[in-house]
Amino acid sequence: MKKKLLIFLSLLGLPFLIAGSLSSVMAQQVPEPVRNEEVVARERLEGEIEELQTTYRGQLTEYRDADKEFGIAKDQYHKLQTLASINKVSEAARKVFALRDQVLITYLELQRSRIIASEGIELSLKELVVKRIEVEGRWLVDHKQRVEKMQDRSQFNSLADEFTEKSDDFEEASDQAAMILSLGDLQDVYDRLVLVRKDIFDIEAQSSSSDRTRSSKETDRMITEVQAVLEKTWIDLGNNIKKDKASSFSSNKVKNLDPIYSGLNKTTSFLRELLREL
Amino acid sequence: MIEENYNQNQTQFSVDEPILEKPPEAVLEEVVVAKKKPLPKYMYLIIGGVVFVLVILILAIINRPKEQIIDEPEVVPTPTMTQELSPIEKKLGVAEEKLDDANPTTEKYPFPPINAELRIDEAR
Repeated sequence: MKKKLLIFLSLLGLPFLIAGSLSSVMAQQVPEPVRNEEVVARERLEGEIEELQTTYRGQLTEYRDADKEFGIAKDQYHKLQTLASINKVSEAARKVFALRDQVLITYLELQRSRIIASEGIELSLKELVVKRIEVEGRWLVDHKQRVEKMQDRSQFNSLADEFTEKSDDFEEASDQAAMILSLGDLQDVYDRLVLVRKDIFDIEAQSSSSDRTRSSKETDRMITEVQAVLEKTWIDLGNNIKKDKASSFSSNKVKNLDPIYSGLNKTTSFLRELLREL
Repeated sequence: MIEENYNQNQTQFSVDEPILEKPPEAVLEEVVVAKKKPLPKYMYLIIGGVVFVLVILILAIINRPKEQIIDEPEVVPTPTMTQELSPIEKKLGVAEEKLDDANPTTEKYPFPPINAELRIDEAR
């Protein structure tokens, strides 16, 4: 009886073994879809940006906490003026200075990756701003290393002054990055709308009426206007960046970019109307 | 006359009464427990075979490879306008979303909120 049971069980188990081996063979035979290198690179870059954003947020929280601790230690030091309070404030300063450097390093890295990933920015301007970011990043890395090695309170003060003096440069680099990214976003929308217009044009070519021709002309006129404003703005921004004056462009950001934004909004509405008329 | 017919002996009645008489026992037929014949060997093989086929079928259904979506050129047999417009509308929709995201009144890439004036001693 046992023998029969064993035979029965082995008969039951055999199909599982066969099916398992078959499925593994099948899995090996199915070819992986070939992905475009550009798509792979883009996905990698997007993943990198997400990771940097998470890191940046975490570091910013750490910095805020360290800043509070430093404030408390500094108050104690000013009140007590004891050796213990000097030690405490020096250590708190080391921590907050290093975290401040690190936050900026990560932020600049994030901006650099965003610029590289952006599709609407002219290559020469991209390179210019990326180089600028890298220069500031290297300075911050060096500063952070010196902060970590510092021992004396007076040295901490001199390192603090170095940072304060450099802060305008960091802001300039950040403004340059933010401005080309913002204008690049608008340029990207413009490029997409032009493609939509071309698609509509292809359909229009099949049949046209006088009303439709008028609407199309208005839309094309709007697209041309936006293009002209975009080109002018890129030139202005490029000049400001070359003169290290992106901050002035940035302070007038809405004034500088709103005409493009409004033009694109209008173009979108026109294209929607054209689509409805088709 | 009546007296002759009526038997007044009560003892006789009770003796004659077959109260404790055992009822005749019913003869029960012997229950014969029929012994089942053992299944022949080939039956086990048949059952095993059926189970085998069933399991194979179930596994084949479970492990069936997913249908791969092959990019085929879009065939437009009936050129209705809605079918032709949908990809364009989709493109326009994406552009609109990106435009909302690019509104210059919102600060999309702000400078980190750090204190550039940190110092242990106030005097510089």
